Amino acid sequence: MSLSMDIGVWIAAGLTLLIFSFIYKDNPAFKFAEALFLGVSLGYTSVNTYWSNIVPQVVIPLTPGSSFNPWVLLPLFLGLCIVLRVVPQLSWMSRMAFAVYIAGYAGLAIPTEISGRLLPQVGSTMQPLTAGNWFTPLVILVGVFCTMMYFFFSLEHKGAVGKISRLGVVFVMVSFGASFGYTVMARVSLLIGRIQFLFFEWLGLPN
Amino acid sequence: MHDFAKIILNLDRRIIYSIVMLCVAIPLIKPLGLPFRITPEVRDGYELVESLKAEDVIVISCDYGPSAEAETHPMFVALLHQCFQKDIRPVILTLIPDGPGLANRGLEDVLAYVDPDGNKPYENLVPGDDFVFLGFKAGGQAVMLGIGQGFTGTFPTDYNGDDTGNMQIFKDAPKLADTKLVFDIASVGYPDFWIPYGTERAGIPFIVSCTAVSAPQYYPYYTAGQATGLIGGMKGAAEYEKLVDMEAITGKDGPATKGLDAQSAVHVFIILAIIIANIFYMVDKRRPVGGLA
Repeated sequence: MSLSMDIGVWIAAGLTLLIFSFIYKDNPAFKFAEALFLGVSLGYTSVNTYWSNIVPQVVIPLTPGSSFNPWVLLPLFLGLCIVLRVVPQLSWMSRMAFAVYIAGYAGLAIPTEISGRLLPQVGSTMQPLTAGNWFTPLVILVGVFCTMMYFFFSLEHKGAVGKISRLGVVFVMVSFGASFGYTVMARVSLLIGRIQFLFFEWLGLPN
Repeated sequence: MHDFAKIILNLDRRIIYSIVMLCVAIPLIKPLGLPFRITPEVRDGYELVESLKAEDVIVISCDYGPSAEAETHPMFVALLHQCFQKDIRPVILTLIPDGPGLANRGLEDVLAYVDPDGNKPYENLVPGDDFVFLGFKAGGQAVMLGIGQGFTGTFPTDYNGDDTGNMQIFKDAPKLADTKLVFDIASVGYPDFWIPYGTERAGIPFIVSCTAVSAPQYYPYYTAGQATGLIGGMKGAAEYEKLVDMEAITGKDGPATKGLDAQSAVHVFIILAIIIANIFYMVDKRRPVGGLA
């Protein structure tokens, strides 16, 4: 066992323990670590976004030289219009930028979503039933139909419709159960990751 | 019996937390070596990468931050080892602002890796030729569409500020369609967008590695063939480490494989807790009306 000599590891270990203190009960140390995390995340994101996006795509193209590109002024103006939402007298200008954004995005998204997601998924739901492969496609087909029927509210859920929607609930519950199982696994994984850090990087236990 | 049931049902949550902590700590200190099997969805992803030829270019999108490090980062490290062992050239990028730090650390760790014989097998790899780390770019779907037209237009410089226009890797694969696949390691919902906006448009395969929480939502893409592989959570990462044979490469198991014993121990405890709590709930419900005599 050899304790870490890295100050960064000690800070990280201390903050991890402060966050874990919430397990006992809410306390000022936890609040401090939580606020620090939020502040550092915001600062990191802001600086990172500036150097990764604003500088290469706005500052450098508008600096006189070989990479000068005046067309950048157009998206820059629209971007600044969105920021003007916070100024009540000029907030109307943001609508122009949003109109361009929504029009462009909708134009890109509608055909892309249909051809890239909707049609392949519908096709996958309606696979042919063959002698060697009938069970899974049938379960998928019945599950999708019954679940959709459960969310179809224009018919009263009684009689045959009620039975089908009831089966839909079973499929939904199985789906929720699978999601919950995966969620438990994910949360335990995060705990394991932190304990691995405390044991092996901070305390230096034999790995 | 009813009094005991009452005690169990009102157990202080801190006792439960302590047992969970022990279930995690003990297997980490004293590994149990529990076996686990490789699932088809992980094997499919691994075999697709294995089928690539030397010099092929792939895209690795590291869309995860520190909050999901335990589940996703081991996958990135194992994948980089697989790529560099086979001379596959990765174009690494991230679409979330807290992604570059971890991705860069993972890349640096793998490049500096010393094998059990004391050699540094990746020290001669050249940035821009054998791999490139492009860093973070805001925009998500816009970035995917952008690299569909060309990497260098969307990423004029890489993470270190070097001009991407002169890089050999982008002369060989100037746009997304010229790469062989996209491997998205994600703790956020970007796999949902990579498929329609990236890989379906470019006509290349897609592999998703994600946190366990989000794994169920990507199974429809796997069954539809829109995702060739699906690696979910620490369990999936451990399977991938096993396929890549991290023990042979680094001389020890990867972090996901090491964590799996603890994962299994906690799962057993949770299952037992659910069963015991339900039994005592039934016992408590059968309490005579008017309370115990």
